Amino acid sequence: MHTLAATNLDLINLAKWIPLLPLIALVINGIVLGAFKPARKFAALVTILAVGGSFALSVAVWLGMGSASEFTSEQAFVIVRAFEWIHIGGFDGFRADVSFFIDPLTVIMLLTVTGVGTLIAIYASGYMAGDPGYHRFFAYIGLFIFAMTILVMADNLLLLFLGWEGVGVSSYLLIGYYYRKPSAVAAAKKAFIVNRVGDFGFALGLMGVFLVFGAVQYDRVLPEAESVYWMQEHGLDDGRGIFSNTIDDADPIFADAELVIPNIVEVGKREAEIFGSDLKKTLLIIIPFLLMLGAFGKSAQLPLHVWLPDAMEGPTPVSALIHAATMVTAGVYMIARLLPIFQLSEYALYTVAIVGGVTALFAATIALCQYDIKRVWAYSTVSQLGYMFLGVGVLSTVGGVFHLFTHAFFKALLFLTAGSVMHALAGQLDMRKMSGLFRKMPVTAILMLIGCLALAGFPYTAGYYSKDLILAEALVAHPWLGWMGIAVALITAFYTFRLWFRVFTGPTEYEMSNEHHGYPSDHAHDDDHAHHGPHEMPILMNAPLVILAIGAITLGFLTHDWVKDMVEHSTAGAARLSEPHSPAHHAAHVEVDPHHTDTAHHDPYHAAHKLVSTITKIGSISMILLAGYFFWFNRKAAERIASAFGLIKRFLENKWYVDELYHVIIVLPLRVFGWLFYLFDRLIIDGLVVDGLLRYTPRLAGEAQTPLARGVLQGFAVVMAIGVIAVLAFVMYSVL
Amino acid sequence: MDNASLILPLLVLIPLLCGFAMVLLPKGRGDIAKVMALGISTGVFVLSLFACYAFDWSRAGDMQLVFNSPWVDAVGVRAHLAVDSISLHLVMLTTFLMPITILGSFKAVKERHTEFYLWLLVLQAAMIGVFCARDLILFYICFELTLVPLYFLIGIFGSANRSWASIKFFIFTLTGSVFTFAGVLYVAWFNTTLGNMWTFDIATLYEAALQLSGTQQAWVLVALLCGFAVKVPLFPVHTWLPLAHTEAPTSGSVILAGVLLKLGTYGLLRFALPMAPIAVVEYAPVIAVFSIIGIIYAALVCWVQEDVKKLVAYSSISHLGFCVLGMFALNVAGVGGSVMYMINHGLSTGALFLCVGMIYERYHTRDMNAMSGLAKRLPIWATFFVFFCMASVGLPGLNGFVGEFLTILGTFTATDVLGIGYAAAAALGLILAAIYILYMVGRVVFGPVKEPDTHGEKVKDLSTREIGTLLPLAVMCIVLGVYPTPWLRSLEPAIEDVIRPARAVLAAQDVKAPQVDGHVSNFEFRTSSLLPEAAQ
Repeated sequence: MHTLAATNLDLINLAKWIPLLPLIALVINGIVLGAFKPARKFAALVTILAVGGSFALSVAVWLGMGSASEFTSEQAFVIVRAFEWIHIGGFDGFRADVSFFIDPLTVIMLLTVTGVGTLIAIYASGYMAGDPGYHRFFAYIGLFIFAMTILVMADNLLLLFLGWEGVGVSSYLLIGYYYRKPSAVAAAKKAFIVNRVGDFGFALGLMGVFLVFGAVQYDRVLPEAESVYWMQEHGLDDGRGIFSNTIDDADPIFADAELVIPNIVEVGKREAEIFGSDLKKTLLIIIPFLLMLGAFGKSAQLPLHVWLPDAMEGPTPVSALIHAATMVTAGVYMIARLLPIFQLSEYALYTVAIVGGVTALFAATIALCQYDIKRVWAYSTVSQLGYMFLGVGVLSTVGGVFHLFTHAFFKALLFLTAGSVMHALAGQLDMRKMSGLFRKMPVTAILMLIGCLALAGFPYTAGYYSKDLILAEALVAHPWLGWMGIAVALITAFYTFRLWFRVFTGPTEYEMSNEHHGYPSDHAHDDDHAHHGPHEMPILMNAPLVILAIGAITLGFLTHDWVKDMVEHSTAGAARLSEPHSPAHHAAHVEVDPHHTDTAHHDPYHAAHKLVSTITKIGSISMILLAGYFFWFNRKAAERIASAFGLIKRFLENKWYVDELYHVIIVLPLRVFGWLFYLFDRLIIDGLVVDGLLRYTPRLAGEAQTPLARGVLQGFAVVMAIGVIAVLAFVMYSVL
Repeated sequence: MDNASLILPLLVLIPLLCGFAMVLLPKGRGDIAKVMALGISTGVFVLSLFACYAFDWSRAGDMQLVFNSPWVDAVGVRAHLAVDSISLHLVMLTTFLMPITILGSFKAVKERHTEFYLWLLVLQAAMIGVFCARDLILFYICFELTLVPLYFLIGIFGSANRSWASIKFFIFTLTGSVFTFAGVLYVAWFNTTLGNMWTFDIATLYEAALQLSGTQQAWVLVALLCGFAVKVPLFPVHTWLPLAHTEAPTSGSVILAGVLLKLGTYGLLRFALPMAPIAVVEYAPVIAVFSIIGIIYAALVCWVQEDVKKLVAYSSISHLGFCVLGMFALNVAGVGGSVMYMINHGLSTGALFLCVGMIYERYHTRDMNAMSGLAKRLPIWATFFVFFCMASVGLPGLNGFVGEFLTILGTFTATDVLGIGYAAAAALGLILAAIYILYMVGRVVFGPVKEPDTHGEKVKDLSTREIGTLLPLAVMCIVLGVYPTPWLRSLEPAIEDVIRPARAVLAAQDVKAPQVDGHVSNFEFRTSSLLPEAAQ
């Protein structure tokens, strides 16, 4: 058993406080400030301090880990236990505690969530200023960060599920933040319900994991899954496959952080059980698909993508934080975390890759034809999430997580700059009603340009690195998906700059909208904006954007190796996954399978990588130039071309009519069933049977009696007595 | 007998006697009546805390705080009260909800105060009696006694269609429970055929029931279901509930949903599972199918309701489907989840009914078409309402989730009884619950502000009293959601006792299945042969 130095453990132990701080912010904002009106202006400060504090703690945890050689030399994790949560059925029973699983993957996620969260909270303190629900907004943000950190830190599937649903609720509350707007309420409802469809799959998958592996804790399930995979590949008879990981299950409550390195103990009992049971073997095939449904719901992949574009009804900082940078990537994180389970089913990861790739293409085509700035970014997010799924689906967890990480920065930047434009134009988001804003808001324009370059995969920006990594691996694993991904990259570059050139170049024209704090306002002309027209944002709002922009440029080459190192040393490390076993029996494996060496793996990969980077370099630049030609110099030509493809354009503008399709095939029938059931309930069960029996049987019995005892209740008593006697007699007759 | 043995009789008698003593109050002094009722119910709650203190949690599965005295000697009826952890938790639910309910009706009741609070207290006594009774006759008396106060509460203090609602409720549940009574009487009679004296002691009857053949057990199960399924209520005998709820006053609904429905599930747990294990194993899939139909059917019906209260009432039917489903999974997770569900449903649905009542008091309507965007007008109320909706929809971290998850998990893992298909079907309820709850929240709480005409009355947000009724419930929702450990741990031994006979049948089935056709063979052995140590 390896040990970490005590100081390191102390640092890692701070992880307990990471979710707690935002929770405290929720309580303060929700209850204290809710009750005490004059202090409400401090709401943003409370949340910024809490989320910033969580970020500082995440850095501390990272430092605690980074200086420990264990973490850089081999895969390892620390479990920080807080308290017991749901435990039933004794030793073999179900158990899920509130405890945290700290490994490099967790730390990357934590840094992303709290880091981007802090920046966006700072931006929002300016953006939301003057809103009557200021404290409510920041209370929800606290709730969100709380749930999101729980999600990425959970050490078991059930606690993950808590975070999973928790972010769902905060998303619901924040999309519906402008709750008097029917469209916002509808969008919030849709988001929650579509997510619930995914959660349905997730919950069943979780139970399947419990049924097969007898636990839901990562430290028990993941090694077990790896060893089952080993046996699937090499057969049961190979004694080296029978390894299992058991971890000393000492007093769980308030235990301090402890370093646990998979401790190989020969058990093999559960593996034998799994292979001996048809049910469990079938479950192994189904489980990944159930979990996948959850991931597709949360991360807005086909066929559950419909909620995300509508989610743009929420305030823009929310779109940036929840619906672009953090929450929607939870599905990617979940699959990366549970890769050993996904590997057990032959077609699971391939399915993930296909869905990711197809969604990427599908959403990109829609983004091409949208006019609402936020919706373009929303479909772009769906498309980029597709890339991430494509990445984890082809076992490029490094690529998937790296793209998740860089995307958080540049997509947050894009949304927030879109928010600045919207703010400046009093809620105007229709890019047909604005043009040439560069002269009015140059800083915003440049910031968004940086985000656009990163999204378009302009050479050496952050998005370029992470996207290439995924595409190269995809090209090796499934060439058709790789080529599709490359096509999407080109479309992405084009629609990104279609937006930027339309909004910021050309003649300066704009039409103000009349929104005031999310609602159409009757007195738009009293508004500051109306007097001054579009203007730059204050420093408080631009400062976070500058940091994000720096990230969007530099993170690619700065953190490439760091992310690779971190992910490779987490449970999602692809090096281990492509060679299914835990490090302890690595040596044995190499003997068994000598042709599966590093060189064999890397040669086609390097060739693919070269090909991809050449194509995307040339492709993205030429697409940007093409977009520049059409949307800066010759907008007429763009319109002519668009109108030539009228039907396709309309089809794409209407998002492939998926919403309408769902309405007809799912919502309407269910609603009709609701009505039918209700009618059945009222008329048949209650009306005909119950009321009939209640009203007429006693009356008839009552009539048959002497006039004195006549009446409904008396009749009822008679019927009842006769019934009881009959039943008793019948029972006795039948059993005697 | 030590002092602890007096706690349970006092828990029953104090509300009963004090309730009737309120008749002596001078007429027209409703103010005294309500304060007195609040005082009494709070006192009873404190007393129940003493019961928790006196209860030895280290042997939570055993019957404790026993009070056992002869009553009607001629036929062996005894006044026998005792609790194990299941009973005690449900008693706590009752005593916890009652002061809240009373506090919540301070303003809603405008006349005949004395009567109102009298019936509430009598109802409380009867409910505690049901949970504590260890004698069948006593159980049955208390079980039926709950009907009378509710009959009056609905019939006198209900809304327009109250008289038909109360009659229907009364007759419906009474009819069912008569068959139940016949069933348990049959077991008592069977006991005498074994050469024993007449007795109605439940523990003795458990042992006698082990000698019943499969066919006999099937009849007992059917008889028990007649009464308890109506009470739960299980599809298709649920139609009295929406009517009773819509006509009942708020407090009636809170108690009805909070505790009274649990008498049905509690009865199944206490009688069906231990007394008819062979039949339970045999027919668990059938009952599970009805539960699942109920879950989905009621959820879809919820979605088309226009009356908020009716929606919450139908949601109870859907929720209680989970409760019964988990129970018939016949494993610790399922049954444990089922008991947790009873407690949690009591808290969150009780709270929802309180919230709906607060709206009704302000606007005199519950029609969703007439109101919208109340979050703007009543922000505190809206916060509580959304919170309890989330608890009701099973959000992890709040109480509803624990029971819901464990019942589905129990069903999923009970591959010997139910299994994955049942769990998947029930889990559809998770989606549908989100649909109907958010449909309600979206219409009532959010949206453009629209208020029913209040005829010039000024509508204010919640008063301190109203916050006082909702806050304890909210706190308990969080506590039970975040740290259910004490409940789960203490329930486990008691649940193991309850399911032991059924587990024994299942174990025997596993052994026998390869040789003969498992299902037919069930009826050829008696449970007692599987439990030598229990039958002695």
